[in-house]
Amino acid sequence: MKSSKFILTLSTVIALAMTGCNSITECESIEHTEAIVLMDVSDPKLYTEIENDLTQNFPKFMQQTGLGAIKACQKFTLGFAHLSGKEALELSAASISIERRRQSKSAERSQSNPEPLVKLMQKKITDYRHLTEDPKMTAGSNIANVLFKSIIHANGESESLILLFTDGVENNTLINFYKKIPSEADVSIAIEKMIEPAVLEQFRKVQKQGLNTRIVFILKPEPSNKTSLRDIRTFWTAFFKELKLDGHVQFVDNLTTPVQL
Amino acid sequence: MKPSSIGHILKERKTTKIFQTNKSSDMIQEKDLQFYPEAHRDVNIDSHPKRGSNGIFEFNRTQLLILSLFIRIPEIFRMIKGLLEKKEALKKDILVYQTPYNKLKQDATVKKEELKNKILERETKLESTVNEREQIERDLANRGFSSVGDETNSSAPIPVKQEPKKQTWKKVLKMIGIWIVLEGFALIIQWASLVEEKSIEEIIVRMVAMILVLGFYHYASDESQKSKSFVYPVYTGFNILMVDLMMIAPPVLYHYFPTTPETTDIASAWSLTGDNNIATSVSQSDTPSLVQLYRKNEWFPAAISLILFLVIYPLRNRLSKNDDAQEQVKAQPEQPKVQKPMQHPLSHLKQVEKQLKDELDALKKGLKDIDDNPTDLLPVINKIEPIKNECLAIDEKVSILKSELDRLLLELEAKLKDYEDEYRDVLKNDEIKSQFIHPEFPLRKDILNHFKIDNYEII
Repeated sequence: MKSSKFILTLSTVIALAMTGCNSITECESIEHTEAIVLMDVSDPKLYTEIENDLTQNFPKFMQQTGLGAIKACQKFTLGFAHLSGKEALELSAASISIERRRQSKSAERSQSNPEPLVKLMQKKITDYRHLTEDPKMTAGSNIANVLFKSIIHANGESESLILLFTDGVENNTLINFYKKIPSEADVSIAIEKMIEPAVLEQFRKVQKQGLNTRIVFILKPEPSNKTSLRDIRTFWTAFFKELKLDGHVQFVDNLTTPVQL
Repeated sequence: MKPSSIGHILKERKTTKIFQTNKSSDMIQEKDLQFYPEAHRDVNIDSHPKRGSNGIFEFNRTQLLILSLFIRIPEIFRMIKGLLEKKEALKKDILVYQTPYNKLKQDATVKKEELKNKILERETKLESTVNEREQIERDLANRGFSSVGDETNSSAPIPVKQEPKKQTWKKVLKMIGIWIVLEGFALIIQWASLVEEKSIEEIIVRMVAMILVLGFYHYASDESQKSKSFVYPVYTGFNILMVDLMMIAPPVLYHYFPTTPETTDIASAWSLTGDNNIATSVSQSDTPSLVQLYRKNEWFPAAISLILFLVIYPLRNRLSKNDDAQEQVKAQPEQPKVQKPMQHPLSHLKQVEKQLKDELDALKKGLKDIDDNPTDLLPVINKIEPIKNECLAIDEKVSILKSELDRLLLELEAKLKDYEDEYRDVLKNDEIKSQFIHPEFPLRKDILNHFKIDNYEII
């Protein structure tokens, strides 16, 4: 009887010591950061340009910004979507996270290893390469609509960054920059044509609540030189200004240009 | 002399004063009843006392008047009857408690008898023991031996081996101290490798494992001092080995199989070319699986130690019994060497004598306790006593009421007798009526019947 009591007490002490550790290592909340890479697949030449930029400069960009470097109780999600003749946002994403505190350094390194994100990125670059050969995809370009769907998607509780790789040429049934790039005066009319009303309405709601999304607009020259890069840039600057997003957007030529996050 | 004139003369001789209580006003009303004129009137109006054909006595007018003045008689009787009924009920209550009371009293008596017998038996035994001891002492004295040394031996207080709680606490504190020193040392020298490969949970588990092994080591070394069994020294050795393993193995393994990975910068990790994208521990693949297993499960030595402890601990009683048996076997042949001749029986007798005296004291104390403090009987006595007191009070009341009833009945009979005398005188003077009328006069039972007192004898 005495021995069974002693053994029971001992077992209880050991069990308590083991279970007590949970509260030390549990995260109270997970800090989430999200990045969405939007790649224009409407033109194979443009896409090659984007692909080269990504392959060569993306690692340095990540190092410079420290975007994917996560610590304990942090999560990073990287998503990919294409800009094409389709209006829908077809997002593929992967995450890395460290969901417990006070782990061993090796465990933290292993969990913060961006390998799954890199693999997804490699896969998507390959997949999108195939899309550039699809006439349906290259038939047009719905940049603004997909961008704003991305903003609405990304603007949750997490900090988010959208990397927009495009030549900025909007080309669909409602608006065609090849024919005419809207002037600064026509921006508001152009916005109504470029963004679906429901998406625009949703965006305004999100904007009212507070926007925590930053956009890096990697503006590439149009491969056939049919449009002026300066005009395109002027338009998009006016476009974001009209939507009161100018404070959230940075224009760069490629990923080597330093950005401020 | 005319009867009327005689009546006037006699009027003065038979007069009674009756005090009657008026219930409504509580005032005492005095009433004079003159028997002669009343008897004269009764004879004239033919109101004669007689016994009916059914045997029931029929009182005449004046008799009824007299009876009406003694209305308290039935009241008192009813009161007595009520009290007696109450007493009967109380008697039944007493009977309920009386049976266990008698039983307890009987038990106490039996116990007392047993104790007395035991005391007698012990006293006889003590007497014979004392005689025997004195005889031996005389024999020893005759042979030139002294029994003083023996006495000091036998009566010397046996040193009690004290195992106070203080000592246990000291041991625990000592163990914690050792643990702090060992773990502190281990943490300092292994910090780099520990934080590299262990989470805080694993470090805590390791520390708990260490203190467990130290605890088992202390337990085993403590038991090995008390017990002759080989199990405890072996277990002690095993625990020392486990402590050493837990202390030495990590730095040794770290030295031969370092775990610190080659630093890989973020840009390489994010490289899309696929040649250097994984920042894993370089040395992991070179490390033997056994080393990896041990690193992941440093609590393993403590687990083995715990399992062994769980096997050994329930067997400790059996092990200590074996020790006792072995000690007894070893001790037996040595006894004659230690004891001098004749000292053993003398000390034995003294021990027996002391034991008998102690027993006698205890028995006498028990007997005294039964006499002084019949604790078993007290609750029953406490129940019976008030009932008995109540019965006594009822008896006293009944006795007072009965004497009052007797007094009233006697007074009533006296009044009726006075009236009878007057009535007989008047009737005798009436020559005509006296020839035809033969009056009868009431007995005690007729009076009781009148008051409807049917069982007077019960009081």
